[in-house]
Amino acid sequence: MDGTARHSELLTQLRKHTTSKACLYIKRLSDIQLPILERILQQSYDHIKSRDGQMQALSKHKIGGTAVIPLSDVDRRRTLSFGFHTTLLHQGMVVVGLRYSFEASPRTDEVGGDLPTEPPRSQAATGNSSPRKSISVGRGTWESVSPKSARN
Amino acid sequence: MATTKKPKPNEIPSALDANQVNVVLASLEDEALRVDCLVILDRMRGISGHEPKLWNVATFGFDTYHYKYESGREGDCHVLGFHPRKA
Repeated sequence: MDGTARHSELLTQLRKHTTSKACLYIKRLSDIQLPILERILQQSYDHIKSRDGQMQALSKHKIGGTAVIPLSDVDRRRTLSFGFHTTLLHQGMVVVGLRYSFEASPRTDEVGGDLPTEPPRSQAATGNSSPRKSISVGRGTWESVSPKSARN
Repeated sequence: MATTKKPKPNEIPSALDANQVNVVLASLEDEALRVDCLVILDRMRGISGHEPKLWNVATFGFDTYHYKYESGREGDCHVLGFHPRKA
């Protein structure tokens, strides 16, 4: 199973048992509430399998695309505060250099939207002074990752 | 079975056939423990959808997953499993 800490709430209902970091010790099934144990097993199984699915997806390094990965709450917060690429690097994204002539690299016409900051003065002076709010880059390969994919 | 520090075999064990499960179960001297094991085997089989495999000496493991620590250490482990201790 995964760590026992994640299951502390159900464990309080289990009755007679002891735990270590990753183990649950039971003397007799008659000492415990079997339905509660089943729920813990199910939770634990689902959790590990979803993390496993995530790792399988990350191990296939993609170039020039974006993988959509189910993130934990911590990762989600980190994404919001530091930007997405930091999280992808943390999750094992590989950054590679490509020559400018690389066919599959994004073309400039695929960069849409507006710059997040004010344009340089020189550009503003040329008359292109519309308010700029956001920037978006097209051509992402969106791939949803099924938690129970891959192994077995 | 604890834990992360103990070295684990990297190879996924071969599936136990029903007979081998019975051999391990028969080695348990405590009748009540054997009955408890049968119940746990049944529940874990139901939840994981996998047949038990024997890990280490007498750990019944169901299904496998691949883990990798930030240290670079990686391997395979059972997703659910239990070890009948001698009472």
